[in-house]
Amino acid sequence: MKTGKPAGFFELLLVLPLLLAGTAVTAAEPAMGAMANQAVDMTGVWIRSNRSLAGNLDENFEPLEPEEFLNEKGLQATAVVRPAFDPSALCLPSIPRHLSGPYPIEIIQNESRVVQLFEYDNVFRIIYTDGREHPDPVEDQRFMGHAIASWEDGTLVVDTQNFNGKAWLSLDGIPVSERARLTEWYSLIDDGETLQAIVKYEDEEYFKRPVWRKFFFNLKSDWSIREYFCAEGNRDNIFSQQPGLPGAFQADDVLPELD
Amino acid sequence: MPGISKFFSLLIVLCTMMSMQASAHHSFDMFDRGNPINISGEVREFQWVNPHTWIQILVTDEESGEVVEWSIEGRSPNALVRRGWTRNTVMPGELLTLTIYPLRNGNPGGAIAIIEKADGTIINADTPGAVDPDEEGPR
Repeated sequence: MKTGKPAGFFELLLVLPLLLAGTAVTAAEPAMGAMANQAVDMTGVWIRSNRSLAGNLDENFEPLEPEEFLNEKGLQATAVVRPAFDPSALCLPSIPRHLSGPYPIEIIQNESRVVQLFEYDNVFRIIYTDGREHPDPVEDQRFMGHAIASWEDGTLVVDTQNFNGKAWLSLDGIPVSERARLTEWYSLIDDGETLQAIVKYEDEEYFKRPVWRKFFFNLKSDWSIREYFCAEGNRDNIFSQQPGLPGAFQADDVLPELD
Repeated sequence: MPGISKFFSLLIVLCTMMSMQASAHHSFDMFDRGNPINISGEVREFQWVNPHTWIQILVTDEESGEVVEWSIEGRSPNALVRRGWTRNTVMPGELLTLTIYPLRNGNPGGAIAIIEKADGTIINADTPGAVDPDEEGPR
């Protein structure tokens, strides 16, 4: 029969909207009302740009002094900082700190999750977009927190909680408490060549106001993430220093001063 | 073997180093970045490991004749390989002059700034000149 080809074409027309509905829009397409909750394809290898605004900033991304955002407990906790106790010096990861790393991040995603593969420390972060809630923090606490997200007008809005209270926010020794909460807004700009991440960090335990950061990541289509195991040659872990390999840190960096 | 020689470098490139971003892995406060020194000696070992590379270099004190092994910290292989380094960029047995930021505690160690090879080749190990100035990525 000669009807086979037209019928197949007709069937394709029926199926086409269904196919498109499951396809991520590209960065170049403007966010439209009909796409309000539609995913954007952010897959790729991204490296933090020097344009990024890091540090502890206010909502206008202007620098804040510690007294302006830390409460009394936060100021006390950072009065004496022992670099050798920095979890990062012990090869332990944390977020948002890993967004500041000098190493690329690969993003892969499907309809139920966006996954960040950090070259820095070889850690991954699953951001669930399937509507699930955070688990009970009694059962599940993490260095990287537990991340859930939704798509809003082309922006991935991520909520991260369930921190384990063992990480530092940065080199300055600010603890990330179990009550910390991180909100991130990820969107593509510059025709998809730049990934913008606006970051809001709150912690009722140590902070009296939120701090903000704004990261830009450049797309590196010809890059691949490499392996990075920090424990391989880490001389900064004073708990595992090998004889004959003088590390940068000395015992005085970690041991309390004697009377 | 060339002896140890300490002096303050006048290289402009080092002035620009003062704005060097801290490593993500740890603070660089233990290094005296305001007072770079030069050391010369024979490479015992180049450790191509994360989170930092290490040049183990044998330096002879000109006055006492004592040979001291210095541990010089560099950027990670992951950062350096994207600037054209390999694990063979520094080889055991090589004679090098290193410009370093010494440890504040006086121990024989520091952070690498510049490598000068025996043939005069200069490798900027961690300066803005070591990377494409138009590069958007972190240094």
